[in-house]
Amino acid sequence: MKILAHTLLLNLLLTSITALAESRIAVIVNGANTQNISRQDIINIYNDRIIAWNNGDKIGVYNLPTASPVRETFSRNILGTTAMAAAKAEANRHITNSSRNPQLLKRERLVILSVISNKNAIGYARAESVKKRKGIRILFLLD
Amino acid sequence: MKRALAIMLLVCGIWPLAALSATMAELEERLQSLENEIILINERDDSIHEAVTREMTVAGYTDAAYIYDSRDSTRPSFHLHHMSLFFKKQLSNNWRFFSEIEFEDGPKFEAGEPISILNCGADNICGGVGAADDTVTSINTLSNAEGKIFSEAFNLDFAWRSYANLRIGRFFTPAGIWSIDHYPPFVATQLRPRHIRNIFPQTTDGIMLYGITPIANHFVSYDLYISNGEGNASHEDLNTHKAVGLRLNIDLPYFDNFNLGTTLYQDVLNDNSDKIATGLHAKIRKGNYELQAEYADALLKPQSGNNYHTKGYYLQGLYNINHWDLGLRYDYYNANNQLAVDEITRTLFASYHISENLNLKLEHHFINFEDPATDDYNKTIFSINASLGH
Repeated sequence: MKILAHTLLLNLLLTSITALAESRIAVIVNGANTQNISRQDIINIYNDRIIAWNNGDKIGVYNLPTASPVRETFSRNILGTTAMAAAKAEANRHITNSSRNPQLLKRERLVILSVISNKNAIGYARAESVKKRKGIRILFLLD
Repeated sequence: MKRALAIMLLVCGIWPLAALSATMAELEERLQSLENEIILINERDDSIHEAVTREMTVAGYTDAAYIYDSRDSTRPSFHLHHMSLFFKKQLSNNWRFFSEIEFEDGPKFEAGEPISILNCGADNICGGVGAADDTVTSINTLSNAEGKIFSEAFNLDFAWRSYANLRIGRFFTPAGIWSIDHYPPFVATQLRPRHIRNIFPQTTDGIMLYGITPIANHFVSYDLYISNGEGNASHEDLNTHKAVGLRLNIDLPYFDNFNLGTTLYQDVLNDNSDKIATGLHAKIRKGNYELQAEYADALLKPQSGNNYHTKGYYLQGLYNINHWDLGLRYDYYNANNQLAVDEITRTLFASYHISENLNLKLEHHFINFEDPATDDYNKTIFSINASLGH
């Protein structure tokens, strides 16, 4: 009986850990990208302050649609704002002709494929969607 | 019997292997075909992206408002104030064109009946002896004009480096925050703070060097320009002086967003008054809270009469919750410090963002004047604002 209880508890714990890992969001770049990228760099890239990698190549900034819950988590965790407010800021940069590196809006699967195929890309997706992918480097995992 | 059994076993063993091998071959063929398709789609996608990037793009914004004004002289009304079209084109890797044509208040320009004009010819004598070379031309006149059509911006950008770019043409005067981020779908209220456009001009025609560069953990951006100055739009500069301006902004790594900046502007107006204007601006965002403030002061030195200041500032607080923005603003303006013309506007506002490009706003303004001869009044505006694509 005791063994059964321990097994159940262990199972529950493992399930929770797996669920936690699966709800995480991975900030990703192409596997060939070896540059050290800090959290502040990501903020600066998504706020249009940094538009090129250290080697001078223009960054391909991939984002998800505003309604995506993954984008909401990314915006709140990294940019410190809601997805709507971040999207408004990006739209405002467009309308004021001050956008230097417009973001590319794609669905999650396409963001992953774009990051795999574009050595200058940066994006984010659910950790479970990228964990077995080749050609990707995970920069951060966000809860 | 043994032989028959052996043949049967061999057939049973080879047949699935042969079938499997055939399936594998089919799968490989299918895989190859899919890979080819992906390559083709990628190439098509690249060429479409290239074509779209090089094409002239049209975007814009529009709004519609219902305005209630407590003054007896004004009636509540629907107001179709803005309909602007942006034309953009990437001319080459470095060169880019941008223009904004604004149609304000549903403009209508209507020609009247043609009128005839008699041209008296080379001899300058009409009729009689000199009538031989007289001619009559018919011209249309304007009988009715409403609203405004205005080329708010048209310029060419040369993007060289992050820290050094060039803009030539007409552009919005880089000053403070609201002069740049002024589009109805993205500002808190339809009614702008009173000093905006009254201290620094709305647009300016000239040439600007601008850029952004990281310094330690900060980002410093600048806009340095020389232009015809106020009241000298594109056709001719009515005075020999050029206006010079500079906007500096520092983006500090505090809170979630922290911008501080200053604006300087020097001009000689067409009546030969000297104008020196300075401004300060700040924007802080932490979580759902945002604070924005601007201060501007212009010293005017007329050829005759006393020097005077035009001054204005505002402080705006905003709370963002999901699709809602709720806020208030205190706004002060004085057009001439020699006169009792202070204006104070207190504003409450709320906006609901249906999407990042579409919102509904409700704002109420309490407008008070120092001058007892001018009646205080309230203004309520309900509006819908849309940004029309990129």
